[in-house]
Amino acid sequence: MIPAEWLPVLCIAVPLAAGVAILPMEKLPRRVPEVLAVAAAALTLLLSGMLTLQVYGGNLIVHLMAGWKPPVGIVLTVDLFNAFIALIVVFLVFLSALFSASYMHGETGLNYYYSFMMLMLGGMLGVILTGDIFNLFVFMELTGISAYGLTVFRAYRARALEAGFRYLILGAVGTSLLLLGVALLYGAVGTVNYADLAVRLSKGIFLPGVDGSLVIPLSIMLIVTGLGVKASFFPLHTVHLDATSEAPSPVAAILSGAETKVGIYAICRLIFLIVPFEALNWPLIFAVLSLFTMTFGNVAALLQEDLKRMLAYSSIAHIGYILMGVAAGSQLGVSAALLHIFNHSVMKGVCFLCAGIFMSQVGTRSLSQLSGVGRRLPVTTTLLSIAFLSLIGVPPLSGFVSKFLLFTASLTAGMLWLVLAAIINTVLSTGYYLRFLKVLIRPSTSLPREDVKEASPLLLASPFILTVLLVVFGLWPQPLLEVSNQAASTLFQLSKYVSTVLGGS
Amino acid sequence: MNQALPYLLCTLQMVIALYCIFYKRNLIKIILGLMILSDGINLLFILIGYKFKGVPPILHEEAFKHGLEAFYAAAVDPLPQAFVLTAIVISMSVTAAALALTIKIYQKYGTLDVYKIRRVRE
Repeated sequence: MIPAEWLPVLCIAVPLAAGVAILPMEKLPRRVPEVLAVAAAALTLLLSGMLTLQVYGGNLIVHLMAGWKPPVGIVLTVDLFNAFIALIVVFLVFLSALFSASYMHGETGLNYYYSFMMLMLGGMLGVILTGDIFNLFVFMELTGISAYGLTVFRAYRARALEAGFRYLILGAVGTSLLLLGVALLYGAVGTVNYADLAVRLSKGIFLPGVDGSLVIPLSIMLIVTGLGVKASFFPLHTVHLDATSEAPSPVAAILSGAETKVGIYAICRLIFLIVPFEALNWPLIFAVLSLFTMTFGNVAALLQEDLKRMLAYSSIAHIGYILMGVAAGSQLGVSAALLHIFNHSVMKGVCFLCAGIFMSQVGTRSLSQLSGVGRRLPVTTTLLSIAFLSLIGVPPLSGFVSKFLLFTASLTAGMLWLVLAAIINTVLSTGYYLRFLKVLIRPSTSLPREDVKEASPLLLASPFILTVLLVVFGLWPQPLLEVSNQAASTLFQLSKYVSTVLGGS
Repeated sequence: MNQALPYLLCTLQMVIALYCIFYKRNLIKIILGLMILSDGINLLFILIGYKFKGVPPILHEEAFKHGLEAFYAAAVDPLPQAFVLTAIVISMSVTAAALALTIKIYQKYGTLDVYKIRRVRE
C-alpha cells in the first residue's frame, strides 16, 4: 500500500515518466507506445482514484517535495476539490488514449503523439495538484507545449499547422501574462505558496514599500487573463477554438474536455481560496464574462456547418455556463459548476470521439456531407444524439441536473438577468443541436457511400463508456451530487487548509 | 536615480514586445517578440528581488562580520533568481517549439508572412 502523501507525487510522476520513456520509441512497432501510454494512463487513473478515496470525507493531503517545509519549499496539496478534477481529467485522457489506439493507426510518429499526450496529462495533474502558484505556471507551460505539439501532430495538414502556430503564440503570451502576474504577486506579498498567500492577503501583510491595493488587483487580473487563455472564456476563446477544431479528435476531446477545466479549476482555487472574493467584485465580473461567453459561443455555433467547429463553439458556450456557477460565488454555485465541469468533460468527450469516428469511417466532418449518416452508423449516431440531448439539458440525462443546479445557484445569488440570458441561450443551442441531429438522421440520401460501415467495437468503447456515465448519473445523480457538494465545501474552508499546509512550520 | 525608472523600462520592453507579437507580419519577428516579452518579465522578476547595493545571498564568512540581521537586510532575494532560471528554460523550449513549427510552415507555404498563410478562417 502506498502512503497517502506519496499519491499526488506518483500521479504526476507516472505520466511524466511514461511520456519521457515513450519519446525515443520511434523504431519500435506502434503497439509498444500505445500499450505503454494506455497502461500509464490506467495506472494514473487508479492512483487518482485512490487519492480521491483518501481525501473523501474532508481529509487534506500535503506532500512536502524533498521534505522542504512551506512556505519556501514546494508543496503538493490535495483536497477533494482538486482530487475530483484530477479524476475527471485522468479519466478523459485515459479514454482518449484508449480511443487513439484504434483511431490513429494510419499515422506515423505515434511515439511523439503518445509521449505528448502523457506529458500533457502530467502537466495538467501538476497544475491541479500543486500548492504553489509558481509551480502552477511551470506545469501550465508543460501542458501548453505538449498541447501545441498534439495540435500540429498532423503537420501535413496546412490548417492544423496554422491553428497550432496561432495556439502556440497566443498560448505563450497567455502564460507570459500569468508569469507577470505571479511576479507582481511575489513582489507585493513575498511568497508563492497558496496557503501563505491566503494568510498574508487576508491579513493585509505586504512587503515594505508596496501599495497592495494597487498591485494585487493588477496581478490577479493578469493571472486570471493568463489562466483564461487556457479556460477559453469570451475575449480569449479564439486561442482554443482553432486548436480544438483542427487537432486530431481524441486530442480535441482532451483540449475541450480537460484543458479548459484545468484553467477553470485554477481560477476557482485562486479567487475563492487565496484572494478574498470581495476584493474586486468578482461575482459581477464573472457574471458578465459568463454572459458574453455563452452568448457568443451559442450564436457562433448556430452558423457552423462543420461538426467539430460547432462542437468547439459549443464548448465555449458551456464554459459560459460553468462561469455562471463561479459567479454565484456560493458553495451551491461552485458545486454546480463542478458538476457541470464533470458533465461537460464527459459530453464533449463523447461528441469529439464520435466526430472522430465520422472522420475515420466517412472521411468528412462537414454537415452537408454527413447527411443521412445515421442510417449507416447507427451506434455512433445514437451515442452522439444522447450527448447532444445532454448538452441541451434534456431531463433524464446528466446535463440537465448540472444545468438546473447552475440556474438555481445563480437565482439564489440574485442574478435573475443571468438566468434569463442562460435560458435564452439554451433555446438557441437547442436550435443548432437539433439541426445537426436532424441532418445526421434524415432518411438516407445518396451521399454516404455504400461501403461506409459502423465503426469497430474498439473505437466505440470509449464513447460508449462515457455515454453510459451520462445516462447513469442522469437517472441517479446522488453520488455525484454528494461528491461535488463536499468538494465545493472544501474550497471554503480556508482556515483548515492553511493550518494543514503551514501547520508544521 | 529614480527608483521607478527600471520598472518603467521593463514595462516599456513588454509593451514593445506585445506590439511586435500582434502587429508584425513575419513569423520570426513574432517569435522574437515572444522572447522579448518573456525576457521583460524575467527582468522584472529579478528587479523585484534586487536590492540597490545588495550583497549575494550566500552565507560565507564575510556575512557574519556584521551580524546576520545586517546580512539579511543587505542580501538580495534569491528566490526570484531561481524562478527566473526556471522561466528562462521554459521560454527556451517554447521558442524551440515555435521555431520548429516555423520551419514546417515555411516548407509548406514558402513564406513567413502571416497574411499569406491565413487559411483556417476561410
